[in-house]
Amino acid sequence: MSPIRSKIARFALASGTLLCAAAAGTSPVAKAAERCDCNRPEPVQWLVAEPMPEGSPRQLFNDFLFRRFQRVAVARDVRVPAASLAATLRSIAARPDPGTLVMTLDRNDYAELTREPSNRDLLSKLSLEVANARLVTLPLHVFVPDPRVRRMPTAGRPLRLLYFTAYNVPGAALIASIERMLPQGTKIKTDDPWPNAETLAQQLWESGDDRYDLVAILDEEPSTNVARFLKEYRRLETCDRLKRQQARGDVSSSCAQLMQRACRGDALRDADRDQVRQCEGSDGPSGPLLLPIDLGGSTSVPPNQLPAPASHLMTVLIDYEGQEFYDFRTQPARPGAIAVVRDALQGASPTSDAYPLLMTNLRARRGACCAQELRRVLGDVYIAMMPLVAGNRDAHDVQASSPVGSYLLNAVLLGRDDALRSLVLYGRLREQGDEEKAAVLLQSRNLDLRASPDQFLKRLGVKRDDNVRRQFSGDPVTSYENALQEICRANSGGTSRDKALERARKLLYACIESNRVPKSMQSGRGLWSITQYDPYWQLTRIGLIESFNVDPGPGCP
Amino acid sequence: MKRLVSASRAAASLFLVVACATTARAQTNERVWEELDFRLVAPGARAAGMGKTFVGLADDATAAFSNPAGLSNLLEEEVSFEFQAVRIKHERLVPGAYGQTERFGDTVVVPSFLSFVLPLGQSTLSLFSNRIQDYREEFQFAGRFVDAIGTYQDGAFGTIAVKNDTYGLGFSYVFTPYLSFGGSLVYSTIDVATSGRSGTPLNPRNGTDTNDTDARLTGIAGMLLKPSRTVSVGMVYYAGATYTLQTTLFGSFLERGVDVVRTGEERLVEYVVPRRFALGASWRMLDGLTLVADATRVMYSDLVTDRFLVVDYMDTEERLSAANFSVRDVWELHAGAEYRHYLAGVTLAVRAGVFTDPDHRLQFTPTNDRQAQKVMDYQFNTIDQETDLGYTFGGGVAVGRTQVDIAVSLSPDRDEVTVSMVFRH
Repeated sequence: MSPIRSKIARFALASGTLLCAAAAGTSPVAKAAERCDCNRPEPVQWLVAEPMPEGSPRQLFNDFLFRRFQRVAVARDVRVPAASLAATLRSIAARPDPGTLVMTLDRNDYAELTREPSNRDLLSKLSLEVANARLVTLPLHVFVPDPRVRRMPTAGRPLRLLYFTAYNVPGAALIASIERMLPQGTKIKTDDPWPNAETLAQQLWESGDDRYDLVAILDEEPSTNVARFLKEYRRLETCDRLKRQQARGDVSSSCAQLMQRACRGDALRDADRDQVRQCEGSDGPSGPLLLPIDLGGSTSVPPNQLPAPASHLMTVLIDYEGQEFYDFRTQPARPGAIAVVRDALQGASPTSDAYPLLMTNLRARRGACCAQELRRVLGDVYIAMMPLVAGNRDAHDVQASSPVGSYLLNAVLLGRDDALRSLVLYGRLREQGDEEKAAVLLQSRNLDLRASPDQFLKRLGVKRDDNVRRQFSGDPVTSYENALQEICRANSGGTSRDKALERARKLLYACIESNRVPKSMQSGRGLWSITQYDPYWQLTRIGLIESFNVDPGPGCP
Repeated sequence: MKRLVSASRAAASLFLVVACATTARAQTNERVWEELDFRLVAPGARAAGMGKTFVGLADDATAAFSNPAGLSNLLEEEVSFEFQAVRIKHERLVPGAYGQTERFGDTVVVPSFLSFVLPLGQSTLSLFSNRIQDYREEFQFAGRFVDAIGTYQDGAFGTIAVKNDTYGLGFSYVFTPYLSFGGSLVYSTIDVATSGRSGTPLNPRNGTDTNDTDARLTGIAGMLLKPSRTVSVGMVYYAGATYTLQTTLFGSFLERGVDVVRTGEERLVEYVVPRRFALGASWRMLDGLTLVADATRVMYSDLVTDRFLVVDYMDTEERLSAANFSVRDVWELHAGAEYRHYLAGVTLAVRAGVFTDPDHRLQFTPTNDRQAQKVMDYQFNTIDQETDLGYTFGGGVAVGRTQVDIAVSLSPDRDEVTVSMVFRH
């Protein structure tokens, strides 16, 4: 199977995302946020339905996420058997508690629950959200601008989807796959031919019936069109934000100049984004969010016979502007998974407040008040993707690669002017032989591969390694080996985790200073060598561990 | 470095001296060792395979001896062992009309080097043991009338066994990212057992016996400069050592035309390990290719000391003294290359090198026309001073944290097979 056909097959077989966004201001969570007391965080009660699907609880609630739940509501964690979930909900409805959130990870349970109109009614009356309530799986990176969140498509109006792909994916097959996963009756409309990328960005940004609702980016890498699209979108977004800021009379002269440039159509640079953040102060930007979804491994299963998940793997997500998102991934091990997904979505109406928007902008949904609390809630509940990773990849692969792609791509496409992760992604693209995309990445991120170690570390804001001995030795192999050991030491737990990661980071900086580029085989002092030498990637790995407590590997000996 | 070879010549000639029959029937037994070679080169099969070149590279645990400043290259603990098999080929002048020579020697297999390196911040400590000389020889040749000097030269026979061990505490300190200094305090011991006779085993005429040991403190100082990531330049100075040994005379010695029996008389002599100064450089031309070169100045002139015992012609009338004898200082040149092939988890290396070994035999400088001086001139100056050329080749493999190397060195004076292992902790 050719790579493209393989990707298409994977695309068709992969499944995607639940992004439950409480779309409008009527969202129960939004209401809860509005009601919360800034000075006294509202305790949140989690009701976790049990039994969980086979294999999923431990994985879904593993490590970071589970601890996070406990941090939020450790005092009031109540577990209820799945069989009595409906009864529990009724009892809660009798005593409405805006701080109560119910989470069930068994979509069958939820599907069963929502089949009953009375239950749906019950759910709508409660200040209650159910994670994974409506599963939408899209093997795409989905992107929706902030304003769309408040203007969901009305009934009868087709969802206008714009998708980017560098591959020759048959449009009809793509649309059919997406429609199959959306609530029944949801129609998707695309334009053919597309306008150019800049025009698309404007159409997405603007309001009106001709607007686009969703943007999907197939695969993990940016194409030329995507890069141009995002660039234009960012410009429009910056212009709009600063205009609003100016309307509030809170814009400095430098910010005003930046706004003028952005609104005039001048391209923005990385440094401009920094200034935008400064201009917007603590409120932060409300930029679009793009969630890349790994298509998973190839499979020979026809697109209309998606395998079903038997287990779930919780993996990363993305750190964007300080926000955190989680990516729930499943492995297809039993047939009929798509049917499960579809059934789970049946109860959702495209016109409901909880229409399963594929993407939302969290920043725009919170005020200065209660930001932390809302972020925790949204981070845990509302933003949850459930792509089905198809095919023959084992659990390790899924866990190892999924967060990487998300982490890297988001860093690249959404700013965070993270040269480090950009370089790692660049390396990945080169490894895969995607020279064209690698070139686009270089251009879009202004990466200078000729940058000296000094320049690179300066860009990272890192002081030179002050270890004279390491500098003298100039042996990247030993430093790299020691860094890996420190990472493994950090993974083994203990209070020295942060220190171990910091030591590892310093060692990796020393590797970078030794001016050696990532390579499959790195030589060092004497005959010593090491394979898969990539200090940039290891630095990214440390970031993943620190941010998400997820180690994409490789494993420790 | 591999002076053993030419040293053997020295011993040969000196035993040839022993062979002096008529007027020069004595021998300078202590001179048996003055041409012996020392293993002053870098230990380790890796260095041996590259023409015994390591001063400018010095990037493993053997640097403790070859250039202590290079210890700063190590970022983690390392242990190194070396075993060596040496076939000694000592060329001795035997009495004859045309300066004929014969080769004598033995084969020696010994654990020759051990070191442990411990990095501590910007400093490095090292403990090491290095055998810089392990010489064994048994020789015997017949006497003959030599027309050139118009006299009969006795035959000679004898045995030589010399062990020179060093035990060192090495230290290095990195001053800047480009410069490291290092030094080693060395406790050096000598164990000598020699016996030389003129004449034949059935009719020995005279000779000396030396069975003694001594120890000295000495030192090594080195510097390693890295002007770039791929080039390093090193310098090292080895202070040498002078041991005082007691030798016992045997037999009768001609003095003023009369044989004087001196059996049992003792004399103090000195055994010298010469000073050495070396310059070296390495260039990592490619990821897998490193070129190295050393130039070493060996102060062989140190070998002739005030206690240089002139066994022949003790008669003061012959007016022979230490001033008549000398060994010239020499420059040794070493060069080599290492090519590495990296595989997943395994590195293979092949090496080759070449080195020079300038002649450093004992030389005699006549000061008058007396017969004794003619005989000495014949004994010590007959063999042309030539520079030997040695070739080395070898290989190595590194797997995980273990490295094993092997090297073969071929030269006119000695052939060596060296096996060494390095373990990183």
